[in-house]
Amino acid sequence: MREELEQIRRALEEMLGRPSRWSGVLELTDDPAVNGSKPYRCDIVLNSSLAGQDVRWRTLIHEMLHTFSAGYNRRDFDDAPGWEEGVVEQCQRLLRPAVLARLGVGADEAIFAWAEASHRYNGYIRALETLRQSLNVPVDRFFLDLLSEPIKTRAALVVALSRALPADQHRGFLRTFSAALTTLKRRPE
Amino acid sequence: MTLETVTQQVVSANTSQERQEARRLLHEWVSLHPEDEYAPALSYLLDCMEEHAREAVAEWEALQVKLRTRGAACLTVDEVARIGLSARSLEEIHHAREVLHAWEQAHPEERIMHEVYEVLYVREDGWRAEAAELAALAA
Repeated sequence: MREELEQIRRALEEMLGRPSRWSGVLELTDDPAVNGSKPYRCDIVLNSSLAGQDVRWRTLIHEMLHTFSAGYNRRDFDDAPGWEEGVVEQCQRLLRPAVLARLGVGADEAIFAWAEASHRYNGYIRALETLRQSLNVPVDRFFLDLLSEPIKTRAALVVALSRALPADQHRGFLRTFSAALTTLKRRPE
Repeated sequence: MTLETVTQQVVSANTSQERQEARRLLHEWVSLHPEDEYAPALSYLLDCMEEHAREAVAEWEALQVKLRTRGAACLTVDEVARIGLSARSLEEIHHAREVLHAWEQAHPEERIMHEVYEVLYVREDGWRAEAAELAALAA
């Protein structure tokens, strides 16, 4: 899987036009609960049982996308996990077909669809999608722009975009945005 | 102070104290820039955030009561995931793992919530790295 990660890294660097921060270290785990993870240090952790399974591609791409995410650090991730996991997971879904095509991999999309139907980051994605649709921004542009914006300032970027909305829609957007924040950020106190 | 820094302070506010501080900063901005047309929108956003935070806190408290009185097995998938994704301190992470394991035992037909464990792993790793850093500094 290390060589596959290298290939994904190269494909994403070309597609996104910026370098990955992956250290090149792949740590294997046999904890059945963990499919993959990207700790704050720039290593990638993957479950060894994923090797050879088609569904691994979505996990490999997801974890590699964290290494392209601006401002990925403990404090900002803790404050706003949805602004990171929701953005990365949606970018994974958007970019996966092109990445796999570049790698010459023909995996069955139905396997990914099954894994994604009950994905626990779907709540984050729904909250972000509500904002995107209210702003009427194309899906690729919205999520890729967020990925290149530091986690800490992603929410402010979306508020700044809303200033282009007609005045009669702006208050409604801010209310929607506030509701989305309770999903995307850490639990309010 | 710029409007961007005020906006950042508003959208970052998560506790009641942070929202109060954001409001204070906003008032300061308005007193310096009374002509600014965007400040009322930020004030309205803070009002909405206050209201949504109150609802979220009440929902969280109701979830804790449900967990205490009826046990992990009675929680919905979304409720279990919320407990896992909300855990930040080591104590909360440990508690979330216990809830997840108890729930998984009661619901063997449900798939493992790998994404929740991913977040727990990242946060736990952060604590481990911090402990190692402190130990290195103390040595």
